[in-house]
Amino acid sequence: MKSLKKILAIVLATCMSAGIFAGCGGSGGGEAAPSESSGGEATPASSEAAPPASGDSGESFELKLFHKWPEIGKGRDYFEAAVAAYEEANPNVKVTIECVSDEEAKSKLRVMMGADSQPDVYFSWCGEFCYKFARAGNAWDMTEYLNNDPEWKDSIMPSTLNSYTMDGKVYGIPFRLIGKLFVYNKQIFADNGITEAPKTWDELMATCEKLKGAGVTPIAFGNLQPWPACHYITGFNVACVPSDVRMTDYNYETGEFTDPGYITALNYLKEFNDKGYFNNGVNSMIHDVASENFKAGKAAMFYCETGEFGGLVDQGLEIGVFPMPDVEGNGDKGYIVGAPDGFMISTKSAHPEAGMELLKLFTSNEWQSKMVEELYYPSPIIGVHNEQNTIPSLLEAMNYIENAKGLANWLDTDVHTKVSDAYLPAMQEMLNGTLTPEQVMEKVQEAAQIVKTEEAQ
Amino acid sequence: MFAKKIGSNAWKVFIFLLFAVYAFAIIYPLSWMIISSLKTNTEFFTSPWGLPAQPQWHHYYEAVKYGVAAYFFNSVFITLASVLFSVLFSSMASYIITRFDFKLKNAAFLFILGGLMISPEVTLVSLFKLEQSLHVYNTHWALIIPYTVFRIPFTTFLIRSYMLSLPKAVEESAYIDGCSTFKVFSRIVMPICKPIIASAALLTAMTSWNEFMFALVFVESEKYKTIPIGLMNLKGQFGTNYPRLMAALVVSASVMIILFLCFQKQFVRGLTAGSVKG
Amino acid sequence: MKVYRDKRIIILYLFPAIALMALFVYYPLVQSIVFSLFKWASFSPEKQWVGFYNYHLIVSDTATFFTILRNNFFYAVVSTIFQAGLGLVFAACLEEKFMRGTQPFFRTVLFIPSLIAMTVIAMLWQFMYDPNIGMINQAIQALGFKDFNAQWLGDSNLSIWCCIIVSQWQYIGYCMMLDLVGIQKIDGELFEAATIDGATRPQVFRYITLPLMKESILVTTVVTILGSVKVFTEVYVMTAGGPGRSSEVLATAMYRAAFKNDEMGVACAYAIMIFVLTFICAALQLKLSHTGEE
Repeated sequence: MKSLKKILAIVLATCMSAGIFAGCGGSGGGEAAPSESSGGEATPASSEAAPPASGDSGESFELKLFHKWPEIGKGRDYFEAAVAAYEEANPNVKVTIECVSDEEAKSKLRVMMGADSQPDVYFSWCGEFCYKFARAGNAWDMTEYLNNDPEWKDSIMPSTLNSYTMDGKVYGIPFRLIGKLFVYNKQIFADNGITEAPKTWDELMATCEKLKGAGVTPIAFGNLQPWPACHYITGFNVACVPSDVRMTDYNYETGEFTDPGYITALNYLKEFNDKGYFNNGVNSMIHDVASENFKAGKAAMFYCETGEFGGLVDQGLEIGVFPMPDVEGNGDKGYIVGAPDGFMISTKSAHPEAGMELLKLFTSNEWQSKMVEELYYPSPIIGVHNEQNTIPSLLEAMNYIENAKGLANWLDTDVHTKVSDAYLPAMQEMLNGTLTPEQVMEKVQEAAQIVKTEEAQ
Repeated sequence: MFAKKIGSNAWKVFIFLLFAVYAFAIIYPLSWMIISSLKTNTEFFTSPWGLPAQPQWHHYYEAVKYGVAAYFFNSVFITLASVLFSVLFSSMASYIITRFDFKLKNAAFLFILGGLMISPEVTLVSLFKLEQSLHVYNTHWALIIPYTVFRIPFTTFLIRSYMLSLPKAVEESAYIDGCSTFKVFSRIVMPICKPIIASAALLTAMTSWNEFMFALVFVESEKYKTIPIGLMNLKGQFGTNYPRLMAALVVSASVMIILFLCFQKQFVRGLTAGSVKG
Repeated sequence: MKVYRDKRIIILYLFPAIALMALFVYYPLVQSIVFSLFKWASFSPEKQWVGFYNYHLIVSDTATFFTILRNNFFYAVVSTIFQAGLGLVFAACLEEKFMRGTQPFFRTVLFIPSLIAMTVIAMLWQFMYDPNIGMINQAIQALGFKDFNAQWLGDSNLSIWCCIIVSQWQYIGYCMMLDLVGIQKIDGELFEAATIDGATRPQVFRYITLPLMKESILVTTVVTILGSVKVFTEVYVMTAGGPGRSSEVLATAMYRAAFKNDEMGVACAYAIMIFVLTFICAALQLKLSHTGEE
């Protein structure tokens, strides 16, 4: 009883004397500061020479890095090591890292960008996701810096740099490359007398039919979160819709989506489903489960990103790789679905050059090679891959990607979010059989119309 | 008479069985969590309802080391502080609302209750900016404040309804004996309300302990993060090691369950019966 | 009593709660009302006045809007029946003499699900519902229905019900616990007297437990109904509103607008709708229950 009274008294006193929390806020911040420096590493070493830095070169400052690979033993360790190497070369810079996982990064980035505490260097997807930050004035223009360092600029695959370029200005540096390809279980193929990976659409269909006849699930596919279907459609749209029409439609100011090619594209996806080439329950299964099913030999093929290969082969699964065959249509042939992932720099950063140097380190041959080896991510830097640092399936994939006519950026990050927000759920319904491809496109057209009128205002 | 007895016994058996089935429906999935945490990732997906061939105890070691240990203190501290503040402020408010006479009494109650109607998701951006301008962003207070505030309405509601049905006689005689309000509140009202305060504290602890979204957005330094955010260390972009994640979730959940088992005594009949009847 | 009119005490004791609510709940709420009239994205400083366009946008997609309201309505009805209603009955049953011995066990077990983070529960149930490896389909198939193959979360007609079931599973024990605390406060002599007078158990429940539990019932019904209007996590984690829009609820639609579509204005409009709906529900319930009157 006494202790309760004591606690009460203390709390009441604190609360009252501090007024409301508005006052408390200031004091709370003050209290936190000493514990911060006693905690050690957070504040720059020179915390006694307190008055925060002025602007001279060689002064100590802090650089904030935001990325989306928090997993221990994987991306997190990689970035910590890379940052440590950077700090060793630049003793006056202290880099603090913040990382949250993929899905959370989307909301966290959006909230942070509206406030003053932006990270100096931040992860961002390419295409429209990057451009909207650029339009809102959150992205530092890297063009000049890159032009002054042609050697670095030329080491990056131009197509990947392009994905971070808007109106001729570069806003991001690609860090890794993702391509979407089919992987297949070599054992299952061999057991069913399939000696060669399918090269054409008809061969793929025949392979699926054969596997299905033998009682094997041909393709693992989990679309509970609706993005995997959109990756199929990304590629089919490129092949089925004339590229100029597609460009016009993907631009939110002019999008109409009336070309019949879009319906053809949806029909190709529907064909897989209707013929029973996907596993049971596509809309009830998350992508991870589909991936594990493939890994466990429950399905013969899996359409996945190059970044997933490492996880697939970790336990000794023998996989082969082949690209999605071209389908008939009026669009471009020979494309592979994929895009780079990269980093951008905030306009609010006090030291954008330091940020650029950090990115240069990330994209250096040494650290890219380490990334390829440890994380199995393909590199957007020319000449990084070789037989020593790259697993065979990835090397095979890189071969396809390098020989492709181009990369088709993910549909859901390439079109206006409201359009993709109509597209993706409607495709789930199509796979469930509750919507026809024509009805899916009607929904997309409606969304595109709304976006157009809104933007015209 | 005899038939009636059989009938009532049949009812008793039925009710008991109903509870037993329901308890099973809870225990089975939860034990699945524990069993799953000991599997390999492949086993987890391919035979989700089987037993692990070889229990992977190291998942627990890794889960605690990477996902829980470093964040444990923050979670405990933030949870304790939010529980303390929300319960205290709520009982103070409930006391006034149930005992005192003033014009705006109902308005005050509705004002506090209004907090139940706000979805935290939408205040996210506003709160983020507010916290930055108050300089509490990225401190322990960044989480203690919203956790406290968002629990005050429900806690007040809960304690108020309990206080309403308590007799006022004891308090009034204490006032007549010359006790101060503070003394009556802390010596008489709070002890009588122990069962409901225990419940309220537990419920607040539960939400603060598990809260994810505010924790994700309002804090950025490693040294202020809480366990739900720490669990992200165990999540990969592709192919998360689910059993290891499960292990971490089991560890995190057991803290709350243990706390509940301890707290439970506070609202068990017998221990409190004397003071409740007042 | 004179002390009960002391303004100083009233202000002193009410101040922390009221001030915190004003600053951290009502200030953002007012902001949301204002912001719902603009078109803006969280990361951009620009705000464009659009009047009631955001509300118009939500309502004009009638099919989706209807689905959303219907889902929230189902949620509220089912939750009230199961959590507020069944929870109380369970609590009363546990207080019966023949259940006293096992009460601690059942009380603990039934309460445990609500101690675990919703995200975890949702993940757990995602596996339960899986049509291939999930326990539910396997159990039904084991009972002899070999061809049974419900898609559960993947079926547009079932997805919302799957989420509703999970919420009930998690929260019946929670409400039961709140009611239990209330019932234990009731003077045991009342029950004994009624039993001696020949009242049956249901009669005791109807004429003694129910009236005396008025305030406690109010708490559980208000909380479950408001909770169902605001429900977010279970739906977001298990189905993200899909397939299509079939399991969308107000809060997931709001989250989608805010953090997927960069329409903070629309998100605010949803938030205001949630506020208005919950406010009406709460006001009605408080009015009908005559709470606080003696």
